[in-house]
Amino acid sequence: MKEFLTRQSLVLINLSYIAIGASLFNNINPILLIFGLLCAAWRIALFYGRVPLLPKLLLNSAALLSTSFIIVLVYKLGVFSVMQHLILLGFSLKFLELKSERDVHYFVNTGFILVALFYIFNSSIVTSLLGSLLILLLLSVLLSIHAPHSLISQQSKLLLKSVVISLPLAVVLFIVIPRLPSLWKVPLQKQATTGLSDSVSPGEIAQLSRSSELAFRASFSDSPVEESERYWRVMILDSFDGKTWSQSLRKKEEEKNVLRGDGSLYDLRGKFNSYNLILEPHYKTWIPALDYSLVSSSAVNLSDYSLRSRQPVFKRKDFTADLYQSIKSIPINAERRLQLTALPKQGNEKTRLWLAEQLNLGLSREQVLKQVLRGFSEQNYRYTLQPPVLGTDQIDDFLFTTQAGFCVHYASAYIYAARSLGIPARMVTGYLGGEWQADLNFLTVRQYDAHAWAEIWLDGRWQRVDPTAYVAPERVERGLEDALSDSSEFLAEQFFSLQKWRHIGLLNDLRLGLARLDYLWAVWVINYDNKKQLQLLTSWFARYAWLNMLYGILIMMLCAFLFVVLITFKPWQKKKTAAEDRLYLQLQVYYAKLGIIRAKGQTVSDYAEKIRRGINRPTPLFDDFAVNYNRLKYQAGLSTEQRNKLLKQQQLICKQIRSGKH
Amino acid sequence: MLSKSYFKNLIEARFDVWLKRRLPAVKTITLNRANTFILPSKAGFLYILTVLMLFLLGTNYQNNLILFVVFFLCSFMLTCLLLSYQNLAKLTLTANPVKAQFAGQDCCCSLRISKQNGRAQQVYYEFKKSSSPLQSILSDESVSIYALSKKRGWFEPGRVTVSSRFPFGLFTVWTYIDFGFKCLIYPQPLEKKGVVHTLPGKQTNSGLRSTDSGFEEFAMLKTYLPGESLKSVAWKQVAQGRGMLSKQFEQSQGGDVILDIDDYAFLDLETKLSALCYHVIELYKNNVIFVLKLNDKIITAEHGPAGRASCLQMLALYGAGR
Repeated sequence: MKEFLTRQSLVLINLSYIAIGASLFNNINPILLIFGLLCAAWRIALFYGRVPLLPKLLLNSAALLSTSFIIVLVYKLGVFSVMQHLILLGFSLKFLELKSERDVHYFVNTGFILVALFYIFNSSIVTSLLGSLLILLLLSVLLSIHAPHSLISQQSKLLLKSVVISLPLAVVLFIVIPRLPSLWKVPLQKQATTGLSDSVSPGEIAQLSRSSELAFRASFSDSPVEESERYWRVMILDSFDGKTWSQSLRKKEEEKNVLRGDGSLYDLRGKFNSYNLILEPHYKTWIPALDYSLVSSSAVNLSDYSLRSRQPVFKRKDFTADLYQSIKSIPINAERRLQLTALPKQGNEKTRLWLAEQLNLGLSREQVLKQVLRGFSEQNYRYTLQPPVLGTDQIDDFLFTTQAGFCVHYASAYIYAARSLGIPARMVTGYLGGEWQADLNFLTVRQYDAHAWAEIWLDGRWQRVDPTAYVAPERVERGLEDALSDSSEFLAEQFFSLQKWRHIGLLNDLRLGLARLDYLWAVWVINYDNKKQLQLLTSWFARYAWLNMLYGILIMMLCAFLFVVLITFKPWQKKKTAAEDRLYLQLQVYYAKLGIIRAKGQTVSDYAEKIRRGINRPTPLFDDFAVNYNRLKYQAGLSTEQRNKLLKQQQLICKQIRSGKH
Repeated sequence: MLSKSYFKNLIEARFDVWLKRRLPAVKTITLNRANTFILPSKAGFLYILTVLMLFLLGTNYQNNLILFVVFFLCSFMLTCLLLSYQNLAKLTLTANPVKAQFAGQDCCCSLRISKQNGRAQQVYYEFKKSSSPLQSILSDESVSIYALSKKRGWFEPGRVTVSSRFPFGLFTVWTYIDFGFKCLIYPQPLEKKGVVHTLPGKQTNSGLRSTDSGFEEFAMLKTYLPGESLKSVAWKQVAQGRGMLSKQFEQSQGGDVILDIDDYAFLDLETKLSALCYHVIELYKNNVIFVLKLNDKIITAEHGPAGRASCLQMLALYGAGR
């Protein structure tokens, strides 16, 4: 087979393959990536003539075999994942049959689709830039096969030029083209979810506390709510098996109904604020909510006041919620009460005994609970993210032995006590606090702000109790870093996180600048929708009342298009006349006035002859000019110096002739 | 199947008529909007299909980044359209005269190219109806395109397709230019047991005399006929095993050569002409003056390439007038 690829194309093809494989690394089975690398290696060996071209039959059977193997391998991960793997497999197999331009085009187009898949899971500025680099690389592959004779510098110049002049129109289209709703329901990869999960055993939140990853951002229409009120409710855990708090069956049922759009309705009173959330993708439906929130569209309320999105949040998404002062509670019935006070029958004898003692002392149930909280603040309890390991009787161990732990430990012990006393109680997980960025007007909540607290049913309504506040009030008021007695526990494993180094001024400025950029990116690019589009265009065209918006849009598109056309053809650029020709033309004009006109196609020597006859005497000056002109035009190997010298002479001659002194 | 090809022919004929009106024959042409076509190539359609798929993906996942990629790729395609056109625009092609060629050999039609700096990259030149297996030969300032005809007479290789898919292969810019190439095809020379008449010396008229007088010059070898002098046998060739051949000497025979088409009565017309063609070439090679007799037309060969050409042209166009 005649090799049609140049070395440069081969390098670019391999480079783009490796880059795309690396970018999808998280979502792709490594076996497939290794297989792809082998394919690439085979193609390189083929280029150097080390291996033969594979016969068609072998190629097809290899394709069939690897396809079925991949399907079996990733079947569990869902339709989306299978699709993703198969596209990448096709992309890898293409290597083995790259033998015409058409194959390269298939390769590049598959690459575009893989970049799009990359964008489904990655939407930050950095990853977007990365994706655009991949596209650039794919385009350069095309250029390298269609312009094999150009130098690399010429190719890159052409590539950059064509990309840059395509951008304005792309941006205009992005701004003005209306977005369509989803055409059909799309499958998604069963992604490892981030953030809070639907069950908590002490330990999980500690894990989150080590992550400075962004959870969400919030901005308020009015002034932001007070720090001590920033309890972002995410999930209610109402079932305890002695070790783990999880959702009861009833709650799980409720979560399932969310996807069908079913939720609970409330009687909310006293709207006083509203906030806008930009939620990072976590591949679940929950939306952090302050008490008491209502989202008008695309989300529903659960019976426990928390918010759920109707679709899993698989990209940065924004929600606007209204805040209300009060909510009309729905009384709990006997069955619910039984469930909300349920505890394992066995275990934690010491705690039970202690509670019974307190009751025997004549205290009321509420007073006993207060006693528990007082214990947290007055006794020797410690707030730490690295608590000692607890035994089988977790509550007993925690309350009477280790007395060290974090929010889940305290909430868990408190709720256990409340339920033992027959008071309905439940655990709420969510986020507490966040960093208010005053200059940017938004609140940044990170994974290390994850928190757990308790709610008890008293006086016919749910009341929030945060046991952690009694042991480490700083946690509530100032955040995690201040609550930890040993600051090295804060983000212990994230040395390179800018969060960890926020006390250094310059780095902190940098961090805030990046945060602002990221916020604007999320609001105006990732979540740019028809509503924002209308808002933006209306504000633009408000100044030009006479201009219909539709015409305005058309004019914008036309301008962008004209820009491309003008930059490409550069109609203002005229052909440059060489210096010697310019002088010659001047002389022609001069002699034309004397009636000696140069005929078309007449050489300079002939013209000199014509002039001599025309003015009827020798013209040594123009003869010299003609000789010099011919040298300038046709003498091979004229150095720049000689050339400049000749040009100077020509200028002199020209001047003399035109002055008419000769 | 028959009707299908019938319709195809009909459409092609209509297209040719349209092309003739749109792009009449020229000697020189500068490519511009009026005389070029541009359409997405196969790869371009694949690209459009991909963009459509990306649009569906972006819409279904409500992903603005993918949609931006879609808009970018659309805009990029538009840029490609302009760049592809720009690459070919202002390219000036001038047809050079075509040299006559023998039937069955490739005639070379060459074009002079003048292009702007850095433009007209990756341009392909070929005949619209390709007839020769030879690839075009491209240099900086000219291109040679080959066409093949097996029939003598005037041969028109037809329109030249000038096409390019530079820079990204998404568009094909092309044009069919009629340079009015007209190539004279001589009959294919065929070595036949020829009958070459020699006029007796006395019959020699003016102009029918060999140029080199006074020398016994070897003219050609021909098959030995019984009765010929043994002196004229080319023994060297006999020794080489090429059979009995007799040397023909111009002066020794004292007469001029006549080539008469009627001497080949046992052959069909084309073969006759081929054989005559062979002899004409051979005679010119040996500088022998001869008379070519084609039925009622009698031409006396002139010296030099011009004479040779006119003889061969006679053969090529024999019977074409009628």
